[in-house]
Amino acid sequence: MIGFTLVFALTVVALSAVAVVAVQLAGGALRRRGAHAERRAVELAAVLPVALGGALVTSLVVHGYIGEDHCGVHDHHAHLCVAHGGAWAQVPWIVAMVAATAAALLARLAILVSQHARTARAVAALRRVSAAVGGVRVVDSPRAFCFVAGVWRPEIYASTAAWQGLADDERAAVLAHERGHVAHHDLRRRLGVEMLLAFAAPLLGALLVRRWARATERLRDHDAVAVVGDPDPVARAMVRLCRLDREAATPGFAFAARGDELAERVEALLAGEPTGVRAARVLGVALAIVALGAVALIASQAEPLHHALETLLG
Amino acid sequence: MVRVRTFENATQVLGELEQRLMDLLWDEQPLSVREVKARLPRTRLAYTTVMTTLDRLYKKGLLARSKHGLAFVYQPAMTRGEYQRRVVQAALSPLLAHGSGPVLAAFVDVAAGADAENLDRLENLISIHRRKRRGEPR
Repeated sequence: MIGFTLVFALTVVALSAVAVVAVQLAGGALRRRGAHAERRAVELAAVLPVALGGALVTSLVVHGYIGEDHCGVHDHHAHLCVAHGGAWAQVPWIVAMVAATAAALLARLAILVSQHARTARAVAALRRVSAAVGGVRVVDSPRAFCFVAGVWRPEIYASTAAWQGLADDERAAVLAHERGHVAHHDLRRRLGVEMLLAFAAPLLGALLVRRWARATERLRDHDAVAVVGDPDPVARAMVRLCRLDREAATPGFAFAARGDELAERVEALLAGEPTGVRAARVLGVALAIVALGAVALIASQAEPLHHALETLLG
Repeated sequence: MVRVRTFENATQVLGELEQRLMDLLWDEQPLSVREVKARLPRTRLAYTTVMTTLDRLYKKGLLARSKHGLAFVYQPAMTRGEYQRRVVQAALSPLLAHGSGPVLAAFVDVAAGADAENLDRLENLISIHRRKRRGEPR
């Protein structure tokens, strides 16, 4: 079991690093193709390493059951097989590596869960003091904000300052944007991406999550334009909300500095950035073919792969 | 003498009974434990349950209390409006500080970074775009 766990962990960590670097390097090109394509690339970079790691281990396990018994042939290293998996537990550096990888993964998942719980607690408190108005939970606050919260039962929250400060068409644009998040289960999807990227190196994983979030916001901006029929109120609403909130914000109670994101979104809207639906589909099909090819290769080469890994690790 | 503790954890959601007692005391104050219990006629709450809950609210900083004879009388440490404002502020602080967390997707999480100059430039860009669409001169 320890041997298989190590193979899985090393494969996923290595492939995740490659995938993250590839997406970061192709970032500019992906952005030009559209938000859908950029988001799909991040999702594939999160899913494929885990899927391929799983395929490799499955293939090794299956090979252990149906392949020829080689255990008596060579005994100079621990065997990567179902019957003698326990031998790996006697190799100190392997045990240490598996423990370190598991600890790092568990720590990242624990941080994610605690972040999730803290936000959920704050949202529950906000919900108690909000009033439901036409599908939106309105909170009496001088801060200008509008967001969707809740992974399983997402709801739209808006402040009175935002609602009163926006023009009618801007309000409709904000609502359409947030309803897009709800309709496409974006928060659930994000959680999935974050959990899968917990396998990647911490900083690299965070970069991809950020890229995914930015692409998703641009996608929902497109949804808003489709509903209100004009990019102008969507762009105006973004700038207006920022202005309103700058007036209300006090030092020590402000968002993180991400002014470039606002410019990026407004400029993408006004320039008529493509949504990238077709590019996302092409990318998905191409990478699915590559992944299937890799799985077929792993399955057909289980015997030499198995020996190579034994030699490499043992 | 009225003792008021600080209201430190506003995001802590009040339980159903706590909320009822707060509502009661916001409507009528000050009240002793016995008076609070008398105003909850349809419940079978024990005197000690009411006393413990009021004590908990006092420890959370939501109630103030003073001694009248042998018994404590309780009154809200803040108005209903002030309580709501504090809950909103305490709840928003971590939400906005973390930006788009895993259970939150903000329409814009950009305020601090978007300086006035940047906002002016973007507004100008939007207005040029609008005029261009309408075929008006710049």
